Amino acid sequence: MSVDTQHVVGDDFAAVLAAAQSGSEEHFAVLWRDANPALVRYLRVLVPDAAEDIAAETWVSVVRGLPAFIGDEGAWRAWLFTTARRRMLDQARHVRRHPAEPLDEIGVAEVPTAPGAEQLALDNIATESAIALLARLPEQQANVILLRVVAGLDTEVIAEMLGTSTGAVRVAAHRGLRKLEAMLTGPGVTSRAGV
Amino acid sequence: MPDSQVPPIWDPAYDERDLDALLSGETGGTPVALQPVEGTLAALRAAATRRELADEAVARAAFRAFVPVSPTTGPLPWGAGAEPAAVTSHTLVLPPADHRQQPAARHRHRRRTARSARKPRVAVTGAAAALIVVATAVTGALTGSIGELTSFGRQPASTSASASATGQSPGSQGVQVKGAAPDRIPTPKPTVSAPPAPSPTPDPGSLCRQYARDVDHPGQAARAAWITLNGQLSTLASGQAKILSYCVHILGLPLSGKGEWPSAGGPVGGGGATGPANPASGGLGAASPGSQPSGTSDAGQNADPGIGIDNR
Repeated sequence: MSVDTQHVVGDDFAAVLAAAQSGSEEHFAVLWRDANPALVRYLRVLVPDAAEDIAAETWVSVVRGLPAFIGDEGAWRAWLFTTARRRMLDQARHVRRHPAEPLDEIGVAEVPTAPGAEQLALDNIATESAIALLARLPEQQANVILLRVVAGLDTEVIAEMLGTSTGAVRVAAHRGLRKLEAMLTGPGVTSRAGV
Repeated sequence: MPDSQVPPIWDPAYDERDLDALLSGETGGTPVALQPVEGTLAALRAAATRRELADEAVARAAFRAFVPVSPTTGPLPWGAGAEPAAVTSHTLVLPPADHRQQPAARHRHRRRTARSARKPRVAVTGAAAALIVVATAVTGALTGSIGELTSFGRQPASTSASASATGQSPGSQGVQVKGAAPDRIPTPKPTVSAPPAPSPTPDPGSLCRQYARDVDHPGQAARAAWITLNGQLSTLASGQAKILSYCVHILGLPLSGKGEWPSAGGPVGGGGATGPANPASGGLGAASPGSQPSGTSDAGQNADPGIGIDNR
């Protein structure tokens, strides 16, 4: 399985970023296509009901601050996910203050379906299964694992983002992995996440 | 599952270094016990799905709205981005080749600014134009004649000198017409208080005198009376613009040879409606030595010693 959610831009990142900062929409699209899948996966684990919305808000914030951004690809990703985390916390506060009444159930026949939705679901079933598994972890552990694995951030950066120590980040990650292993190898568990 | 429920004894087949390797994406040599976890993490790193790339158009739209489009694709002039927010909001951006790339938000902002900046300018221009028109009507139209009008019936301060020059007797209550300069400026009238409102059946002569007295300094308190007086004279003179010539005609004053004199069109109390400066008509201010205004009920008012005029 290819490793595609990290460092797609690679060595060209500085040039791509500079072009995007100077107004090149195509170069911005390169940055977006590189980072958005990871961003959406991160958000789908932590806020499954509002992942796309928060991702869109995150990109609006990022775009507004894009001309001011300084840094390499690691800093770019750290900034992106920090922004997403802030939007996520804002969303959580908003939900707490304005609890929404659930609408009437929509019948299966009324659910809009895009062409090839079935195929998409089959193609991505492993990823979907992995996201579902991560969602069962405690939030801090899932957060750390996602930031390490999906966002590709270092332990130090994650510690700074979460306002904790690098030791705590490592412990949380290791605990989460062990819990994943327990879930995957436990009795009655069938993993569709690649194995 | 809370952490307290996690089995305290780990699989001895792997240690923390193996976990760190998993997190770092290192492949190969993964313990068997961790291979399902490795597969899960690999699925998380998998290639993007269509769903995850479906909102690219939205992101591009946000980019077009917020990032100024530059004709060059090189680094921005500020490079490290010292103060990009302020710079971008005030930097003139050349129109791009593709109109879709124009930031809509900036356009809206500029339109608002231009519109709001234009409003006061239009208002000030209009007010200035109106002021010029009024000033021209009051001062320009009255120039050369208002002096005579306002000096009607007043005792000149330098009566003897003027009278000697023109052959007028010092006791004459007329206006020194020959010596009147077109740009004569009447002096303030300290003893004149707010004029009373015109009577329901006004006498044109008294109305004109009232008009002549208050045209320069109507005063705040007398504004209502002034408006009434103006309306009455406008009716009598067949128009606002003809009040002056009408009053000059009624009061028998010359108008420097300019303008046509309207017919009185109404009862003339002064009896001087036949022409200016006609001593026989009894018109006020006729340059007839020793002539007395007749037919005017305001003869006594004309002799108000407190009202002087500079006939220089």
